[in-house]
Amino acid sequence: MNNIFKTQAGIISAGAIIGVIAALLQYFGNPANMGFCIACFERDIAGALGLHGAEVVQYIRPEIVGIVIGALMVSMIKGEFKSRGGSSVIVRFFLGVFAMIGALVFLGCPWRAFIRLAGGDLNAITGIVGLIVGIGIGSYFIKKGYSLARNYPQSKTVGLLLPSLMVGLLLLLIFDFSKLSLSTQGPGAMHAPLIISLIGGLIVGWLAQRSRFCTMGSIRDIIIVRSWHLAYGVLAFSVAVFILNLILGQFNLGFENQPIAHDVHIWNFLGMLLAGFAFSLAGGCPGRQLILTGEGDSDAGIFVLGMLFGAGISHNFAMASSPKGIGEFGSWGVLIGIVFCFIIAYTMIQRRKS
Amino acid sequence: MKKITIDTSGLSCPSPVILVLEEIERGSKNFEIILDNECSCENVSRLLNKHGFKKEVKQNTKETIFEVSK
Repeated sequence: MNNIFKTQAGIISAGAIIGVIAALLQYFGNPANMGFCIACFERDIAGALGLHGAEVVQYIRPEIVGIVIGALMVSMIKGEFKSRGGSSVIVRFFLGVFAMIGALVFLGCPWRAFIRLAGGDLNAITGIVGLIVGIGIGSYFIKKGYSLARNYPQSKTVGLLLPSLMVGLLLLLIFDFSKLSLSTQGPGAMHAPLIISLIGGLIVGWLAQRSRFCTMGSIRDIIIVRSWHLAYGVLAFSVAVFILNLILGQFNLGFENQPIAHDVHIWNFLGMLLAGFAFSLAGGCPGRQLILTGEGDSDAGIFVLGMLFGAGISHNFAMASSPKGIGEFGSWGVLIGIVFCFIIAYTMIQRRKS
Repeated sequence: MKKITIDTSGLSCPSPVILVLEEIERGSKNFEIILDNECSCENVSRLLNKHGFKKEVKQNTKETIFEVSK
């Protein structure tokens, strides 16, 4: 039980350090207000693998690899690595797909929503409100008894599959595999040096595993159990990004001309509502799903694969937004996703003995 | 009276917390909780502390058991 990060001071310091790393990664070359964005980075990986053809967003982001491997290493050292899975697997896949569709209509995961706000992008506000509403709806069903049911112990190999895939992706990048699609311009071409991204990811993975840092969980816990524990971490994260942005000259207040963002407020709101709803039904924000993947949770790994697939169809079917506004079919994707989440939430309420 | 046992093994958060919260809301003062991961142990501990419960922790190779009382 020697976990200093489970205390209130622990989650606050972990959140703050993750925030500092996010701001520094942007300083070292990551796109503006995108020091860390799990959804965007997984989208870039989907692009690099050729799952979509948006040429400006294709790169194997070492941060994603680092988070999973950092969590894997620390959970192994602390004896918390447990290979497990088998809990409503295909549902998790589709929750990942729709979470990604929603996040790409807003243009960011919850981490980036707070990073955008801390960079002065006021369009993030409608997104964050949507996120809170989505998590609120999910929490309502969770209180009603919604559950994805139990997982079961699995062979160690199963838990190591996704982390191995991550290492494989990194090797493809390091050895410059000729079939990778890598952006030569646009956000996908903007990145911190590989080693810095990787180390940044490893530290974040380590800290987030120890502290259980989760943006979705922070809001859900306030709603369901009136616990502010995780929220202190997210607040510390946002404040740290804000202060570093001021120091590094990365702060720019307003609604217009914000980097990799648009100001179609209703779809910022609904996109994040869908994402928040899906995250709460799946039990974690995209960052937390990566951490769980590193701990051997293959159900979280399926969610990650769902997000990669979702990124592919988001761009292929013109559902993803761009700084010019939302995609031609983005609204369809969001609405179908919200309906899907309601059906899942309603039909997966488990009956309990009273 | 038979002791109430809440088996949370295989469930990931927030499910263990919800199950314990429901038991507390039903007015139970004594029950035991089976937990199989560290994260759930931390979350459930925080919830119990908040509601003023005491717990005795037993650990075996596979799971942790909280004997809870008020």
